[in-house]
Amino acid sequence: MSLSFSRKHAGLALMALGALGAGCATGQNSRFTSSVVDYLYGDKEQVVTQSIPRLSLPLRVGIAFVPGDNDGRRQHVITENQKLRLSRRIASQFEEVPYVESIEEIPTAYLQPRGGFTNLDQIRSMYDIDVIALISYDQVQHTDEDWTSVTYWTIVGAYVVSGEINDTSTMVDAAVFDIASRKFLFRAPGLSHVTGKGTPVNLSEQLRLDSMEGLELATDELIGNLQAELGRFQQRVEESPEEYEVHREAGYTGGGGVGGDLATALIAFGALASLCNRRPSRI
Amino acid sequence: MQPPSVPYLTLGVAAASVGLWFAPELGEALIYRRDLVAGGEVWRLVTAPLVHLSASHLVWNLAVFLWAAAACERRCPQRLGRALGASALLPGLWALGWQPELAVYGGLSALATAAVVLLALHELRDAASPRLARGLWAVVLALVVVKPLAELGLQRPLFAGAGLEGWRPLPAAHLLGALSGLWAAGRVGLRRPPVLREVTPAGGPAEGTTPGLG
Repeated sequence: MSLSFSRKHAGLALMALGALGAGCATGQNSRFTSSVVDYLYGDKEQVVTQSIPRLSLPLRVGIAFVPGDNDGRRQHVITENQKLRLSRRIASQFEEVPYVESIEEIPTAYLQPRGGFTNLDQIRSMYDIDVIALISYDQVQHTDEDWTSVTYWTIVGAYVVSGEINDTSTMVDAAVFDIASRKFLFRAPGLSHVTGKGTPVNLSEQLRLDSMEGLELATDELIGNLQAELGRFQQRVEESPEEYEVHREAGYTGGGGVGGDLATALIAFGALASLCNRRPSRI
Repeated sequence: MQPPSVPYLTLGVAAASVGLWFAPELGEALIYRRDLVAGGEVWRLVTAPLVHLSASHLVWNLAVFLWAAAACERRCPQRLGRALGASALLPGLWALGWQPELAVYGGLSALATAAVVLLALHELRDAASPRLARGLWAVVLALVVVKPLAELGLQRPLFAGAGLEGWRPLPAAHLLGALSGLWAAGRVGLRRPPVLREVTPAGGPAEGTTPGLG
């Protein structure tokens, strides 16, 4: 009884969320979006089976914007040049990571809509990469007076962001996957909200500028989050060897490293021994 | 030989390591690179330990090295010199002769391990030390020897290691460092010599008066 009650309420909640999402899709005047979920799991015929990722160090990383989908009424779509500039900024964060060997910027044209991991396997062979950072975006300009909020769908769930008329709300999201194992490794989001400044005279031009500013600001936030996530991912790999199999290729780099645990233990025991050794002098 | 009041050798090695961290171009010319060593740049065999691969690699190696080597230099500077010389050279030779897949090597840990082993053996030989102190030094000695042996057996770091920092910890380098310390300490454990303590006017033993150790 209680189970069916819970299911009923869960169903209602999903319907409500669906209605909100549908509202987002029909109520705005201007929206352009691309979705990692849609790209990877949109094709229902593809069965995705995950396994334990085998990370071959140093990693070769690809970075790509997933194919976009705009509603046909949009005037200012994100251009390839904008994508290139944003992906270079994001790629620069990976370049600073010592366990990354190379970054390949992959043109969106090579990613088929709803191509999924089959498409990623092709890209992996073509570019000789192990891991891919998939960049998705969702930008809404609230030019409809009925419009009050927008729902962003990401790989880990939905964000609901409210907005006023002529405001620009943007989300840019980087989701990193190990292609061979189909395993989601980590993600970093960036959100921005640009308040509408346009007048009816210059509205179109101002919206275009706000769109660009929104993307840049969201990417700034994404980059900050990405730095933190790269560090957390490194920590997770070190602490959970059962979840991530790390393999180093021939020609590896080795270091004579005492390590924090051993260093602390040695110095602590040595200091204790020295304290015990403080004895009165004898003649 | 009178031990120096300032551990110049220890500070010199530490300063060189820190300096090379901030001068990566120079570090690149001194780190062990198998292909370049084979091509004639043999100085890399002994200079590699001064070059570090990450900030945490440098910090932890330096912490242990400064602690152990400075203590050794005040007690037995000649033996420390021998231990550091051997532990600087052995890992490079080992990598060149037996590790063809090891392309790049760096890090001070072999020298730090040699200094820890030398210090622990020095203290263990001091018959006048309290039993508890000698027990603690025995633990220190066991830690630096057992950990790399266990890692060699398990084929993975015993504690959280370098992980994704892009390099693999080399337990064999630690063992070679430990052997260097053992060699420099002399015939330790075979026979414990009598301890002679020369009393200074201040009342404590004079530096470097423990027989057989510098």
